[in-house]
Amino acid sequence: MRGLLARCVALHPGFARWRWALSGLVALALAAFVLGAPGEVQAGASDNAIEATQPVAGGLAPAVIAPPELTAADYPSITGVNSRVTVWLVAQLHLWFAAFVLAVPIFVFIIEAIGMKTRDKRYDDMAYEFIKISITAYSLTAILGGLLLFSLIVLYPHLFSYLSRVFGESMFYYALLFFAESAALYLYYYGWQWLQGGFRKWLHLTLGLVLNAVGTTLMFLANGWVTFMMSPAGLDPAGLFAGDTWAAMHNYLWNPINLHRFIANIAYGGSIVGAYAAFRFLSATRPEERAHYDWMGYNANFIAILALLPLPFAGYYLAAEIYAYSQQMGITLMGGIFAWLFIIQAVLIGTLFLSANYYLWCGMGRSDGAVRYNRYIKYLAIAIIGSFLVWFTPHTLVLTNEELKALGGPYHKYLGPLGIMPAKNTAVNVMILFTALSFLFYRRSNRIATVAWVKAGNAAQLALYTAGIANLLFLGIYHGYFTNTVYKVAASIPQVMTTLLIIVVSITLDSVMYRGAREVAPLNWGRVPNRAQYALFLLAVAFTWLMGLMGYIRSGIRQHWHVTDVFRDASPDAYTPTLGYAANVVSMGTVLFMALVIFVFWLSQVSSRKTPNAGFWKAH
Amino acid sequence: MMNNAPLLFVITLVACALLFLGLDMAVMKLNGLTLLYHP
Repeated sequence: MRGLLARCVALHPGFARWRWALSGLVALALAAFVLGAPGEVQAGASDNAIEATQPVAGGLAPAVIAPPELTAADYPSITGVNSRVTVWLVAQLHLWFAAFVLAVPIFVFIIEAIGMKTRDKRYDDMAYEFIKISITAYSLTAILGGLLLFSLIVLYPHLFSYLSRVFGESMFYYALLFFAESAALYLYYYGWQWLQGGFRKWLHLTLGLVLNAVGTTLMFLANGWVTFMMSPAGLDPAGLFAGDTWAAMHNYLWNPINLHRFIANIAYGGSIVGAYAAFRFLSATRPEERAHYDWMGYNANFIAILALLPLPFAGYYLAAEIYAYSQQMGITLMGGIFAWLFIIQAVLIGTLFLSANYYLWCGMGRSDGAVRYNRYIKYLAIAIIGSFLVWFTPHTLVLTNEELKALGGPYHKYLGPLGIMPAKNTAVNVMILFTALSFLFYRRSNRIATVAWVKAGNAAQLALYTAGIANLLFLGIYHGYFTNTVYKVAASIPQVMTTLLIIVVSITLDSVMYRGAREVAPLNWGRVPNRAQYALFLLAVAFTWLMGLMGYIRSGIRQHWHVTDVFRDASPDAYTPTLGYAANVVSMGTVLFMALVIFVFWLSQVSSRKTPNAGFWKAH
Repeated sequence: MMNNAPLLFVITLVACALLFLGLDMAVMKLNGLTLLYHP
């Protein structure tokens, strides 16, 4: 150890100063581990969750918690306030901001690391600009979190009491982690200019990693509470909780939600940053400002697309696990009333893909060499729009009796078969592949490969895509329409693997092909039409609306249960609202969130403005 | 051969097709199923 320290001091003269700080950090971490490991949080005063002790030989078993049986009278109400809509909106706004403040630091960390690797200061400046925005958003997240807590305590006291009894331990650690996250965020932001160069920069990047690790752990904890309400675990057959918090946390849907939210956060962070860049691009007055924000928008869109590509697979995994946990819940989700919302979801996901691709195609105008690829864009557009149409074709339609008679039944002769999952799986895989191809063209647009085997490489790329798409169609058509359900579901896995394999092999091959490639001409950052910026706005709005909609569906499939099959919701709102009503609440939330986000963006502009004040202050 | 793009296209196409079929078979087998449906 001493040898290692001596070498570090020799390599980094500044290390000697840091050793003590590092030793302190390690000691703190150890102390926290030792103090935290064996402890159990003591339950608070008795509340409405029924607590019971069971006599056993030689003493009493640990306290068990039973879900309370409530009536409508047990739910306090405030005149003129709809409890469900209040908690719905506040929780949704909190979650959007939480996703924002978790996502942006992930984005910032990636950009800072790229800056360190390339030694291009523009990346570092961009990352700093974003962490500054995070600070304001962080305050709003905390305020909304507090509002959610108070709303739950005031409007759903028995539910909150029950959950806090089951998850008291994790809630305590959640609060501690919140402090850790705040500390890491403030150190990361305020220390940005201080921790520059050499070892200090590495230390700063490590702080970013700590910030993201703590933020993600916080999200995992809260995911445990949410998924417990959907797929409760750690309970006996009578629904009694005997005190194993880990079992309750590690419930059936915890990891599928963790994975889905983690990937979605990266994509969401990219889209919000993209919207910010678009906002600044459109309000820029100087060409160099436009160039800077154009470059920022491109990077944001790139990260959003990168995370968007695997996102449908994570969503599919979550839905499959919901089915596996409870077929009834799965059928409510995608075969019952909520199925119609999936049509809207499909339209929104299609919007995401279309706007991300459209932005890339517009962005090719920055390069003088893009003209070589322009003729292919229409084919990409046809393939993506075609897949999009299949992707959102419903299985059945809302029809009048006359229409039903004219159609000869609920299914359309030609379009009906496109309404089932194998068609949609195939469509989304094709859509993802063509998006990857759009990106490939964008990447190539300003470069000329210099390796001798360019033609062979292109032939191999073409063969890879052709064989892969043929395999997707084989799996989708043969297994989707000529086998049984077990085969249909199983065939979706090789479809996903085919898509991922094509993307990985194709990007690797292209990287080797374009190693040492010549540039056609310097890229003209800022030479992009304004409509491309609206595509970035559309991306952020569609993401936000989609999150709100799917959040409602995820929560709504519990139907009249606070905790599925365990704790019944007896409030006056224990029913599934109409689709129009739900969509209006989600839209209202989206408008509110977007207004707050624009406020945050505007604040970031205000902080850099200076008004001349000559003559106001007394001269000394 | 490296300069004969059409030939390379055919060879890669066949190789990729075999690779994807192998992948399909392996995944279906892991699920206790066969590539082709036998009712």
